[in-house]
This record gives sequence, structure tokens and C-alpha cells, in this order.
Amino acid sequence: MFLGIEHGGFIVMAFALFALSISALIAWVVIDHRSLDRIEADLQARGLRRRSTASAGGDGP
Amino acid sequence: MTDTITTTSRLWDLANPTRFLRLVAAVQPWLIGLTTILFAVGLYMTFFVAPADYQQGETVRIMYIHVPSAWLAMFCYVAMAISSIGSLVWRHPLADVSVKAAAPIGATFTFLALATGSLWGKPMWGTWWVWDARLTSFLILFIMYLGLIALQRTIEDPTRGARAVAILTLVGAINIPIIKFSVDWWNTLHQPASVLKIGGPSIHPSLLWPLLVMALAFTALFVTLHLAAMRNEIVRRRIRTLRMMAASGEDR
Repeated sequence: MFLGIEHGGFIVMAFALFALSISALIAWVVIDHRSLDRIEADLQARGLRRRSTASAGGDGP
Repeated sequence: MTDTITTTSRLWDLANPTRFLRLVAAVQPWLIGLTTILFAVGLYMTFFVAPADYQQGETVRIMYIHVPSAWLAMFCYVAMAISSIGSLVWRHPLADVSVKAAAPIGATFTFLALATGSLWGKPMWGTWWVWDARLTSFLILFIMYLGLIALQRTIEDPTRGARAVAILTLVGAINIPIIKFSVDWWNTLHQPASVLKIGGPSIHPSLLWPLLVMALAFTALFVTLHLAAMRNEIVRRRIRTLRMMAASGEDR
């Protein structure tokens, strides 16, 4: 018995694990996104451009 | 004929990473909104609409995260296998990006299916784990995902690594039908299919509908995260190109 529910501990643990795993996955994607954007902006601030972008004069492929 | 050519041309247009990134940026807010709504409705139905099972009691609520996790773990692998064919046969520029981005997501869903299955099995079967065909083949799927992630990280050049990863992904795809039909081919402690089976679902609609909504929510979450991870991988490859240019002094 947990929270007045039979096998309640197993149910709570399963949903807690679900919440933790999905949160970790979302955090991984978001942190990676911000970190990569920062690095790319830093490289571009140093004057580095891919050839296709530089020749197109903008945000090309 | 002209329609077919136009459709093929549009698909190949998407192969351009910049066009793909624009598409992701446009659909991402809608996908996040859809995923949030589906999870809100699904979790409400899980806890407040679905009744307790007459045999399993409240423990049946674990099914609403265990079953969609297992479905998505297999769906993700099938998506990776299709992308691998695209990578090997057509050398589609986004195919190996898709495989690389999907692997950690698939691994997480597989881990969730195994862990929640164990937490469901202990009170219902009296054991955390048995080496039956369904559980063992699912554990092999988890090991496959970890192996693919390790292989992706071992080979530094993404283009060279993509070929090895695509071949290993296709070899591992043989495990998917084994997982699906393991409960029919062997005598397992795990119950046979009760939703995706010939003759229709054998599960009561009051339990089935919340399960289907949660499955949709998991699918929307997978699509959202996969597109975001693909976008990250494209930017990572651009950074790699810029760093190589900086190292060779080509753009100075």
C-alpha cells in the first residue's frame, strides 16, 4: 500500500521514471541547441563563413 | 506522371539542409503545442477517466506509459532502418542525420519500456525480470541502440561513420519482427498482443481510448524531438566544416 493504493509505490515510481527520462531527453535537445548556436555564432563573429553562404551573401545552404 | 515528378522534386528540395531547417523552424511551435495538448488529455484520461482493471487494479495505469514507450522504441528503430536504406541507396543528405538523431531518443523509449515493464511485472508476476523471448529481444534492442550510439561516436568523420551505422542498423532490424511475434512463436510470461492483432483489439474501449491518446502523445513527442535533434546535428556538421576551414586557413 502506498498513498492508500495497492502497489501505489510501483505506479508512482513508473510515472516518476517516465517524467525524469522525458525531461532528460528534452533537456539534452535544448541544451545542445543553445550550445551549438553559441559556437556557430562565435565562429561567424570571427569572420568564418561556409563558401556557399559567403558567395550567396546571406544565409544560404 | 508530371505529378509524380513534382512530388519527387519537392521531396528532394527538402534534402537541402537549409530548406529543411526552415521547415523545422516553422512546424516546431505547432508540434510542441500538439504534444503538450495530447499529453494533457492523455494523462487526464489515464488518471481520471480510465477505470481500474478488474484483475490488476490500479497497477494497470502503468500500461499507459509502458505500451506507448515500447511501440515508439520499435517505431523509432523502423524509422532508423528506413533512413539507413535512404543513406546507403540514395545517399540522401538528411538520411544519416536522421539515423544519428533518432538513436538516443529510441534508446530512451526502450529503457522506459524495460524499466516500467519491470515495475509492472514485480507486483503482477512476482518478479522484476524473466529471460523470456519478449523481454530478452527487447533488451537486445536496447543494447543495439547503445551499440549504434557508440559506433556513431567512434568514427569522427560523419560521412564515413554513416555507412557503418546504416549497415549495422539494417542488420539489427531483424530483431523488430522477432520482438513483435516473440509472444506468438514462444511460450512467454509476457502476455500476447491485445491491441495490434488480427481480429481487432481485445482490450475494453474504456482502457483502449486513453492508451491510444497516450500513444499519439508519445508519437508527437518523438516527431518533435527527432526534428529538433536533426536540426542540432545539421548545425553540428556546419560547425565542423567551419572549424576545418579555420584549421586549413582556407577562409582567411
